[in-house]
Amino acid sequence: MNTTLVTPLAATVIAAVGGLVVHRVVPPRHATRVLAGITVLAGTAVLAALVLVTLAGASQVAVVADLLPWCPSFAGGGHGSSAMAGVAAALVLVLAVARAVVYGARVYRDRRALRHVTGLRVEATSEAVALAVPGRPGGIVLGSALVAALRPGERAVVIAHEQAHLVHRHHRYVYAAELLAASIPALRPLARRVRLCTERWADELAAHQVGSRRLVARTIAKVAVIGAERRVTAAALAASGGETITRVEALLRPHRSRAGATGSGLVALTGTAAICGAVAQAHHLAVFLRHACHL
Amino acid sequence: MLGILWRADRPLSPAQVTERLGSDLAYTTVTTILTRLRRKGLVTRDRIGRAFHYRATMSEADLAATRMHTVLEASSDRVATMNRFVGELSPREVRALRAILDGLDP
Repeated sequence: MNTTLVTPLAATVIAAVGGLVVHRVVPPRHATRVLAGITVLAGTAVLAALVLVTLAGASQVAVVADLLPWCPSFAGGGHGSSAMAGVAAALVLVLAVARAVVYGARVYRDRRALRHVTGLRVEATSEAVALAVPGRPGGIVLGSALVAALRPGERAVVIAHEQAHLVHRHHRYVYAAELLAASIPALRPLARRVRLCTERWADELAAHQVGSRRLVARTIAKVAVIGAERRVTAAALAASGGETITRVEALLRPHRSRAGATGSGLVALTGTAAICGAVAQAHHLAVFLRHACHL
Repeated sequence: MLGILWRADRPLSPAQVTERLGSDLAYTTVTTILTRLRRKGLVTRDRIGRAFHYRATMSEADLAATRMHTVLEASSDRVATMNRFVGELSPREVRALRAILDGLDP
């Protein structure tokens, strides 16, 4: 292990850990952007480090070095990684790319399935479904049973919430963070928080539009309870980080401006660490390539 | 904006929509958006007095009438990549939410 590799990775880890609490001290609209940025930067840093170790390890293997005649300094190793480390990094890298492709395919499949949805659309289903379909102009899908179970004011909350997702194009933050988290599972907690922050952001805008935080909180709880009752299989009630409770409680808490200085400090710290980690790692990769291959 | 029109019990003028939006959107922006929504067939307008008043084409009655689509019939894993109003829930969370709901109900 060499310090040129570990130091930027340490900065990345600091950024990721700091990112885990950003949403507690920063309003959701800022936290979403900061968190998505940290996730993408941290993912880039880790991927760059993996490429670097893979290349450094591969340089020890004569067969690979022979394949790269334009890299005269590449052969013979001595770039700081053993062949074994290179193989391990290469495996992780292949797995990361494969998982990213799978995630991308899922997004493509979902968007394709709902590509005709524009405006407000009610689907005949007993499931408590309410979702925002990104696109231009995008649309909102509501389950018929859910519409029937909600009072007009509560429907307005659901629609305002989903509209907020569309207007502020929340899917971009979610997709970016989840793509990186799919390839590097260590980033999953960050990506979950990005999603939570987009929900909180939309909740706040819905509360602003309907003029009642309490009504939004009650609607979320009601939709959740209806959803749980309608759910056919218990298996669907599996993993949950308690995000829905967090949202409801955040709305019911008296609205106060968060500790501004703490928030700004944390954002500055995690943001700087994330940028430093990613830039340093990418820089090392570039230097390595230029040095070994006289690019 | 559709939500505002949909909630309103009568057609609204752009000025009323602007007022209800309560945001920093300018009056002209609101009229532009309303014009676009009308082009997409999502709202209609009637002349009331001197100004055009807008209303959402899909009324609550329309919403109660269901349409069959196959998109969502598959498992709940479907469209997990999209922003859903409520995500996955644990049984414990459902109990807690039910308690909160009971506390909130008037």
